[in-house]
This record gives sequence, C-alpha cells and structure tokens, in this order.
Amino acid sequence: MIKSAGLSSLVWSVIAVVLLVVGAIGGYFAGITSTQPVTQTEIRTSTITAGAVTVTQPTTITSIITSTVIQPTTVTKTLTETVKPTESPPVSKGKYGGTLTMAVADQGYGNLDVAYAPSVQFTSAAIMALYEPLVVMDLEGKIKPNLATSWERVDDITWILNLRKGVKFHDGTPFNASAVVFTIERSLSKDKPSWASATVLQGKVSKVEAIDDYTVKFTLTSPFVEFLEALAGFRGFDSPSAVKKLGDEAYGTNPVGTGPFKFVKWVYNQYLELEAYNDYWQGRPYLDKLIIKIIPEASVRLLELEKGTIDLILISPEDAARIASNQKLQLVQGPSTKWHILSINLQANVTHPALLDKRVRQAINYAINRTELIQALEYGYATPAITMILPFWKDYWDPTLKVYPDNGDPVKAKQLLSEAGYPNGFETEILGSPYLKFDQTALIIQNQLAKVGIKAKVSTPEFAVFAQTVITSKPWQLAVHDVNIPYRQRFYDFYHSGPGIGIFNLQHVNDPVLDKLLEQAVAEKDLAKSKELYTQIGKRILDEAYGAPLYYPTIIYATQSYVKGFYAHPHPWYGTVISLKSVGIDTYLDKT
Amino acid sequence: MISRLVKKKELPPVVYMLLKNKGAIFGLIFIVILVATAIFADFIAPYDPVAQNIPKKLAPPSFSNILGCDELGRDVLSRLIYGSRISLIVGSSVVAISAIIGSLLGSVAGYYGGGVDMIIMRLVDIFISFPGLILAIGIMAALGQSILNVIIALSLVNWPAFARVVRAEALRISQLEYIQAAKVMGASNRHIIFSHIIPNSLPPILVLVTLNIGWAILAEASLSFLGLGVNPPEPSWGSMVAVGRFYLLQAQHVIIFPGLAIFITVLAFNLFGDGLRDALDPQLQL
Amino acid sequence: MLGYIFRRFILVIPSIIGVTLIAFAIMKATPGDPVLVMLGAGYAEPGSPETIALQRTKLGLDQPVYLQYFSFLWRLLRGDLGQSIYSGRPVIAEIGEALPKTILLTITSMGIAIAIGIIAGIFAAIKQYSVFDNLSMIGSIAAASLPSFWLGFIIMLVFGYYLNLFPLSGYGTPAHLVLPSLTLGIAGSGLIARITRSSMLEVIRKDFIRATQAKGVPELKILFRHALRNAAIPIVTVVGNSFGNLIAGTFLVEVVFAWPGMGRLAVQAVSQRNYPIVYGSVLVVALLFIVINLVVDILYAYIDPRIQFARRQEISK
Repeated sequence: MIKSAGLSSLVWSVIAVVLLVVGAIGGYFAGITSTQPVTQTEIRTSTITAGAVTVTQPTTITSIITSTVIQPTTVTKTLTETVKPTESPPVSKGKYGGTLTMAVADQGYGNLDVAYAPSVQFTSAAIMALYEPLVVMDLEGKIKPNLATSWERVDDITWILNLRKGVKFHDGTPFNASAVVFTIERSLSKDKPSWASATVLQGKVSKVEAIDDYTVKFTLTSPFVEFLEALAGFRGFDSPSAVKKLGDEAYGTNPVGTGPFKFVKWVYNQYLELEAYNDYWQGRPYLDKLIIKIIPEASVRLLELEKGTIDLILISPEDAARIASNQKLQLVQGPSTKWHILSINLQANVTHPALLDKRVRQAINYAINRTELIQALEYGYATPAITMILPFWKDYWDPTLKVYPDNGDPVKAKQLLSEAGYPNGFETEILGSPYLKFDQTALIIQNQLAKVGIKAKVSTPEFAVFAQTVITSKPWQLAVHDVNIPYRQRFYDFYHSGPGIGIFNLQHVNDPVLDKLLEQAVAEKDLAKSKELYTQIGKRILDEAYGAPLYYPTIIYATQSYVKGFYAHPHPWYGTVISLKSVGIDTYLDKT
Repeated sequence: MISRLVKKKELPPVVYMLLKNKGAIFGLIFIVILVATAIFADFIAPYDPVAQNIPKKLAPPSFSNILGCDELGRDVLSRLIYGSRISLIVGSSVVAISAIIGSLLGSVAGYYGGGVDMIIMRLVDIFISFPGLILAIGIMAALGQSILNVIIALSLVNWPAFARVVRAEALRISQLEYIQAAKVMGASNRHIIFSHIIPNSLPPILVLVTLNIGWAILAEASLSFLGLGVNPPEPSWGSMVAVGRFYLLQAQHVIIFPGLAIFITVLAFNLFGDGLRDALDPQLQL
Repeated sequence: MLGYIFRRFILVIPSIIGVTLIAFAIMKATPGDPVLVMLGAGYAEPGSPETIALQRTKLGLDQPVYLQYFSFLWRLLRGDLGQSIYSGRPVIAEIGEALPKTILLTITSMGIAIAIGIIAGIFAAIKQYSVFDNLSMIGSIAAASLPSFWLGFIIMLVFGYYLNLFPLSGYGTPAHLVLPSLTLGIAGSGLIARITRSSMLEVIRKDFIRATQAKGVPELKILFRHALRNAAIPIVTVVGNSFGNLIAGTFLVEVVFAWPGMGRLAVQAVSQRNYPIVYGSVLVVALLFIVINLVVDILYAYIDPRIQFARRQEISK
C-alpha cells in the first residue's frame, strides 16, 4: 500500500523535475539577454568644442550677438531676453535652526538620481531640496536665473547659457559646464531610458556641449521658443565625481547635488533625512534639517499634522476647512500647472458618431456645470478652465476668451443637440480612474449630461488600465483626466495631428487650420505675436469644442503655524506635488 | 410547545435544536429581513441611491437623511439598502458555484481515489497555497471590474474548501457497507455519487454554505475596498467603506454605517450557520 | 516518519509550479502596461514613443508570453527573482525588507488572537451556560464576522485619534505595532475561542480529570497541566489553519495602517503592473503557506499517533 503511494508521488516528482528542466532549457534559449538586469551606462564625457563655434570667450553679451549669423534684428520685446547677472540673494529675515518634517504619500521607486528619478511626491520633494535647475519659473510664469546667470538665444536652435561661478556640489567638487553636460547626456542616453522630467529635453536637445568651464551650449533639434521653460523643468545636476565613484546603482540612494540641503540618510519606504548645506551659494537655508516621511494614507497624514508630529503636508481641498478652523495650523495656496479635462475621442471608427459633430461637443461643454464640479470635488479651490493657458501666466491669460458659462447652460445644450440631430440625446461612456478622484468627476458629469438627455455609462478602471486604454487607442469615447501644462507648447503636444496623434494627442484631433496655427505659435518669438496666435488657437479649440476643459485645481498645503516663509511655488512639471523650491531657502520655523 | 411538536414527530430534531439557539434565530430573522430588503429595495429606500445632491455632500445624519449623505450627496441609507442586493447576489452566487464545483470534484476524488484523487487534490493544494486575496485581486485585475467577474474570482478562490470537506465525507461514506452492496448490485458510479454520496454529504455542505456566504460577502467587500470590485455608481458596501476612508476625520458616518452593515450581515450568516452546525452534528470539525 | 516528511516535501514542488503558472497567466492576461504607468501615461509626462518601446524591450516585455515564463523559471532556478520594474532593485531585496515586517505582524497578531481566544475559551468552558459563556460565544462569532479593514479604521480612530494612545500608522517603534496587530488579533481570536471552549468541554468531562480532582490537585493545575494539554490538539489544528486566514487578513490591514509588509508590496505591485514583484511575492507567500501547512501537518502527526496512522492509510489509497 505504501509502495503505491510512494510510486504516485514519485511520478509527480519526476513530472515536476522534467517541467523544470524543460523550462530551464527553454529559458536559456529564450535569451537571458532579453531580461538582463539593467546595465550601467557608460558615462560619456563630452568634448569641449573649443573654437568650433563662433565665440571663444564670451565676455559680454554683445559680442555673441555680433558674431553669430542668425539673430533678431528688430527691437521688439522677445520672449527670452538676454539677462544680466543674478539678483542678489534674499535678505535674511528668518530664524535659523530647527527640523521641518513633511509627509508625502508615496515613495515610488526609490531613486534620487536626477536622470532616473520618477516624479512622485517623494522624489520631487527630495530632489527639489537636493538639487536645483538652471532657471526657475516664478509666480507669474516668468523665467528667472538660478544656476544659470544669463543666457542667449543665438539662433532658433542654438542657446548659450552662462553658469554661476563658485557653486559647489555637496561633496565639494565644483559645479561647472561639464557637470551640466554630464547629467543631461545621461538623461538623454538611449542605453538606460530615464523617466519623468529628465525626459523634458528628450527629442528636443540634439547636442549639449561645454564651451568652457562656465558656458554651456545647447543645440536643439528644431526651433523651440520655450526652451527655457522646458529647462526650468530639468530638475538639477548630479555631481559627476560622485556618480563615477559610486556607480549608477549606489548613487541613486546617495545623491549629491548643489541644492540647499544635502543627503544624510534614507530609511527605505519610511523617511528621508536631509540637512542644511552650509556652503549653499545663496547662504545656508534657515532649517537645520528636513525630513520627508512616507505616510500613504491621507487621513493619517492629516492626523499626524494635527497631533503635531509633522509640519507640512499637501492636502486635498476637502480637508481645507478643517485646517482653516484649527488655530495651530495654516493653509498655503498656490496655482498649479495642470488642468482637468473631459477628453472627447475623435477617432472616426472608434468613437460615437455623435461626438464627431462639433455641435454635440459644444452641447457637452454647455451641459457641464463647472461650478458644481469645483464645489463638489475641490470645495471651491479651483478655477473654471478655458484653454490650456494657465491663469498665472500673466502675459497670456485672457479671461475674455471664455465661451461656456461656468454654471453651464442645459437649455442651450439641448438646443444644440436637437440641431445636430439628437433631440433625445444618445448613449455613451465615460472613463475615469480613481486616481485623483476622476471616478467621482465622471459620476458628476454623468449626472450633468443626463440632464440634457445624454445617457453615459461610467467605467472606473484602475489607472494602469485607464492609461493603456486611452493611450493605445483601445475604444473609448469620453475620458476624464488631467494634463500637466509646463509650457504653451503643450497646445502643440495635445492638439497637433502630427506624430503625437493618438499618444499625446489622445483625442485624435486632426484639424489643418489648427495645425498651422500651432506650428506658427511654437516658433514665434515675439511676445505680442505669440499672444495673438494663442488667442486664435484658443478660439478655434473652443469653437470646435475639442474636449471639454473642466478646471485648474489649486495646490493647497497645510502647515503648522510656526512654519514661515513657505509659499506654494508652481513648479512647471509638478502641479500638485510639493515643490520645495521655497522650502529651500526661505522657510524657517518660528516657534515663539 | 416545541418539544410537544417533536414528540408528535412534526418537527425534526434538527429544527428543534436550531430554534433553541437564540443566536441562530436572530441570524435567521436578520437574513430574512435582509433578503426582503434586497427584493423590495425599490419600495423601502427613501431616495434613489445614485441621485446626487452636491450641496448636501457629507451631511451628517438628520431627519431627512437618517444615516447622512455621502461625498456626492447621495443618501447613505438608500445606498445601503440597494447595496444589500450586491452583497447577497455575490454571496449566494459565489457559494452556490463553489459548492457545486467543489462538491462534484470532492466527491469524485473521494470516491474514485487513486490517480483522480491525486490530481484533484494537487489542484486543491495549488489553489489553497495561493494567497486567496491575491488570487482574487489578480483575477479581478485580469478580467476587469463587474459583478460577474467578482463572482468568478471568488468562486475560483473558494471551491477548494468545499472540495476538501466533500472529499472527506466521500471517503468516509465510500467505506460504508451499503455502498459496497450497491456496487455489487450493479449500481453505476454516477448513480452512487449522485444518489448516495452527495446527499449524505449534505449536512457539512449546508453548514459550509451558510458559513461561506459570510466569507463571500466579506471577500467582496475587501475587493471593493481595494478598488477592484463592482463598478460605480452601483452601491457596494465595500466600496462605500473604501471611499469613506478619505473622509475619516470629517464625516465618520460615511465609513461607519457600511462597515456596520457588512459586519451585521456576516454575523447573521455566521450565527445561523453555527446554529445549523450545532443542530446537525456538534462533532463536525469544520 | 522521515519518509512521510520527505514525501510531503516533494509534493510541494508541483504546487509551487502551479502557483507560479497561475500568477504568470493572470498577470499577462491583465491589461495595463507598467511602462505606461511609470510614465504617468504620457500625457502627464513627456515620454516619447521611443522611450516606451525601448523600455519595454529592456524589460523583456515584448517577448512572446511563453518565452517570458520560461525565462522566469530559468532565473528562478538560479535563485534570481529579477528586478523590480520600478526601482530596479532586486526583487529579493524588496521582498527581503517587506517579509520580516509581515511575519512580525502575523506572529504578534497570532499571539494576541491565541491569548484572547484561549483565555476566553477556557473561561467559557468552566462557566458553561453562564452569561459569560453565551456572551463570549457570540463575541467570538462576532469577531470572525468583522471586516478587518473596517475594524482597522475604527480602532485607528478610537485608540489612535480620540484617545491618542498609539501612533496611527507606519512602522518604527513597538508602539506602531499595537493597533494593526490588535485589529488582526481580535479578528482571529473568534475561532480559537470556540475551539478552545468545545475542546476543553470535552476534556473536562473525561474521567481522568475527575480522578485528579479526587486526588486533590489544585484547580489551576488541573486546568493548565492536564486539561489544556489534552485539549491542545484541535486548538493547534485550528491555529495552523488560521494562519492562512491571518496572512490574507494581513494584506488588508497593512494597506490600512501603511505597514510596509508583503501585503502592501503585493497590492501596490499589482496595481503598478510591477510583474517581477508580483511573481516574487506570490511565490514567497505561497511557500510560506505551504511550509506552515507542512509544519502543522507534521506536528499534528507527531502529536497524535492515531492521526498519523489514519493519514498513512489515506495516502496509500
């Protein structure tokens, strides 16, 4: 009896071993190469093209202008003026000392190498403290110098930036042009693709060279007037010597930058500890230490803030009232750089035929009550959206462009639907993933559309599925999501029918008139002309109702009252992520 | 009175024992009420469960909304009432499907033994080794969100439990003399399985069924909590708890009531199932 | 005996293979592209189509599915679980960090469940049919009926916030362990209490207990030395079986309390389509399950020779 039992188990074991062996052989031939661990990139040092360009020693701005070939001759105000050396560092008015603890939701994949780091809250907060960009965008959307003191658009595709002298990395090595080139080339390298805003320059920069120790020359692939806006999104520079010494893998957890804080320790998935960098070029920050804790549950972050164990968090609007009524806490608001939109699929054989008629799309825009959406989802902390021009871009914002009333106009919507041949509405589907409560947004819109006769079914796939459906053009009709708007060229990305169609231009907008305007706008350097072009673009988009923009959300932070000097700075790439540009140098604690 | 009925052979002892168990009575009554609520939801619910009323969002319990409103101003009580439908449908479907599949496979395994038994038991082992929740999550992620997929996923996770129990019973029953006798007399295997083995395995199956409904309801709630359950705006108790956690500090009622509903429902099924087990055979090791 | 153990061990292998096969099949059938998720779906981040394609090749995602499975098995044989798609860190490292935390939580919760369960069960058995007995029996069923994730939030609110006794979430000090293990412990204590009670009831009635009572041995000594020892067998079985449920419950509680264990890791990995981590987690947890079941089985067979014999008969069929 026992023997037979042994026999059957023996048989099973043999089968198992055979399977394993077969699998092993198969795997061997399948190519272990295909799933090879990511190898270390070879760090290419770039050559300094001495004498290759027209200038050798650019001492003054004028010498550059006179010696290059293409240049603007007219004296109209250009988008990017040549800038004089930096403003002086802010006057010290705060108190030194103390530790600021902030909490973020998600660590993402832990890598603090600028070239490879993702853009989740954690890494963005950390990177903003450890590193700094060449230029920054201020609260009016204007570009200000930072690690680059002055710049020059030599021609449509050539830019030269002069770097600040005397800046040192946390490890003491000097910050210079070769460091800039080093980091940028690493992020553009095809061997190990990088993520997040390191890809800002991908496809846009064809070559970056160090002309001398403090001058960097960028050669672009095509004219790109907003190059500096893009550059403001390139978050910082790694110390080349640190990277070479530690290697890619180890450097990711031992970052060395030029920012106001330097790395102390990182307890994976729990917290990151940074301390003040005393030799920071703007003078050491007020804070002694900065701790970034990871607390995934929003309610728990809130509770810890109220208990006083942490000092700063990003909050959702629904918690704002609670914070406002608490004497020991304060709210800090700022504009974000994104918008929420209901995209309308225009791909002919995939979407609902009704959506191909612009009157129907306009009807949808009229049916949507943006005020109600803002009240329900953002508790009032948002602005109804018009076009991709963000409200805080002072030079471009034009509220007169608004066509669709904030409260909607169901009567007009029904009228338009009748004209288009759908007096009783039609059936459609809205996608909204739970990410950022788009599922709720979809539900509310479903309700609003129902009032004008459009019966929409709501699907709430998780983000991974949503992304794949929308990007790879699986069938969808309406989808709610957000879009980051770092610069005006986003119009091009989102509405132009070129190679980005179906990917960035997920609505499949294919409008030759609009295309032409977009192409002009992208190359237009003159401010007045540029504004005019974008006005026309906006009008066209609104009239054709390519999508139904919803609103621009506001960023809200909650801090302890003793946290001073912190303001919500709109970082061009991270709309709702904590931007620490301001918690770098201006923030201090006043516990008196 | 009840004992008199028993003596008069009008009430089988099983029912008698059941009625004596106060917990089981409560469970039964609650279940009946719940089923009635689910069936007559349209008449009972004060509001439309998907009707949004933004100005009333997160309103605390009041006279107009006894259990308050959720984040889109929908009435919580109405959503709970309609949510019972999903819980009951999912619970009973999952248990029914896994009971049928599990019992069939288990009885076959126990009766035939040998290679068949080995294969089936390996299958059971594999499915049991797989962490139940993760398997369900994986299946839901693969299939997409819908009530049907939840039922499929949970049934796949749950059938081994039935298979094991029925197999043990089948093993035991197969040894009995009258089964041998039936075989000798020429009864087909199929006949034996369906007419003798399965009916005689009913007591443990029944108990497992009632206990399992509670589990299935909890499992569906857990899946919904993780965002992988039913599609909104269908009210599912689990997803109501999931949403409620964002408002933990401002509006506790949004998370308390749905969770309470899950708890009491599962409790009722468990109490009843427990009483059933006691009545049928207190020695049963389930 | 050793042969029995060895045989049981061998039978584990097909289970493992089956588990990995199922995990692989499910993930591959699942829509969603990890590369797109990482990129924030392109409209949030400036990823170009080339980047997406390149990264997919690097990750081996463009290979036919069966080849991917074989590569996976091949590396598994060499003890290589691959790298997390996101962080690039070896899967073993990530799991190595998460697993001890889950084990810690599981063991502590089990301890609490056993403590509550056994004590309640013993008292209920001693004072059978009293109010305490009835209450604790209903209480134990109630404990098993609680949705663990909901209970977690309630406990978090009451003890963490209103009473401000313990940290609300996270990992670090022993105090962080209190709320999550309390949640799981309460939920798991129900079954143990019931089994303890019924088992103790059986044993107390036995003659040998009467005999020791007659001998004048003190009550407490009888209780623990004699009664409990003999009642232990079914309790051990239930505890062993409960481990399975407990680990499942741990997943949910980890999410609620932000406990950085396997549960959170696995759930997150699934939503990010971080395949290597998913496969690794499934494998590790399945192994854990199997090992625990094996241990319980062996323990069982060891404790009660009668059972061993019966099992031998059963296996030999």
